[in-house]
Amino acid sequence: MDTVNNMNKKIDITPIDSVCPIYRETVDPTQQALDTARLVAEAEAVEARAVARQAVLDRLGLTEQEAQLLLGS
Amino acid sequence: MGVPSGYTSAQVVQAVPVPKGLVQIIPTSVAVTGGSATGSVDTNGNITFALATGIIINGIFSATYDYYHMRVSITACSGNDDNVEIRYTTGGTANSNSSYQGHRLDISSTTVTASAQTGLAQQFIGSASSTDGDTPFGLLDLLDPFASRVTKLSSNWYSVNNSAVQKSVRGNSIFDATTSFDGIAFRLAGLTGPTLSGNISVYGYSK
Repeated sequence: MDTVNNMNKKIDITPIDSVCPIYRETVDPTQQALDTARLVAEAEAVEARAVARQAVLDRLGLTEQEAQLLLGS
Repeated sequence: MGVPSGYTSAQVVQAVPVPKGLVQIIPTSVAVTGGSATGSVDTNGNITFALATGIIINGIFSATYDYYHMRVSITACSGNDDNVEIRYTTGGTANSNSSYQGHRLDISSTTVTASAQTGLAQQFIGSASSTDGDTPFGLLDLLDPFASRVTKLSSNWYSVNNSAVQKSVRGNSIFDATTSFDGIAFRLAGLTGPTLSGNISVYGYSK
C-alpha cells in the first residue's frame, strides 16, 4: 500500500470551506522505495531498448531517419 | 416531516428514489500526500487539490450505484512525462495486489502503440508534464468497483509533454478479483516527488 490509514500518520488539513475532511498522509517509505525501484527499472528498460535498437541500426548501416522512413517508428 | 397517516417509515423511505441519471457524489474524506499538498471539497463534491504527489478519494463507491463517471482536470504539475496511475482503495488503503490488467492504446504525436499488460500493481492511465499548463485531462468510467465483482475501468487521458508532443492514452482494464472498493487513489510518478494540482469530480449513474 502506498499510504497508511493510521491516525498517527494523518494530519488534518481540512480548510474551513471544505465539506469533508482532508488529511495529509505520509507515504509508506517501503512502498516508496519499491515504486522508485520500479521507475528506475522502467527507465533502464527504455534505455536498454534504445541501445539495442541502435545496435541493430548500426549493423544494418541505417541512420535513425532512414529507420523511421523504413519502419515507421 | 412526520410519517403520513397510513404509511410506515419504511414505506416513506422507499417512496424517495435515487434521482435518475448522473448524480455527483461527495466523498466522505480526501487524503493528499506530498509535503506541501492541500485539498478541499465544495458543497457539490468538487475536489480541488494542489501540489499533491497522490490523492486518495474515500467513500465514493457504494451499493447505491454500480456505474461511476470521473472527470479529472489537471491545472499544474511538475516533472516530464511522469506516469499518472490509479489504485483502488478500501477504507483509505490502496490495493497494490498484482491484479490490475488491461489494454493500452498510446498515441504519441501520430505514433500509435498498443499493448496488453497483466499482473500490474497499479493501473497506468496517462502522463503529465510541467509545461502542460491546464492541458491534461482524464475521463474515467468505472463499473462494479463496490460490488463483489471484478472492477472494470475504461479511461481516456490527454496531455502534452515538455517537448510539445501530444499524448493520448486509451485504456480498458480490470482489477481481476472480486474485492469491494469504496475509493480510488491517484498517484504521480509512483509518489516519488512530482506533484499534481487540479480538480476531480465523481458521479454515480442511476438506471
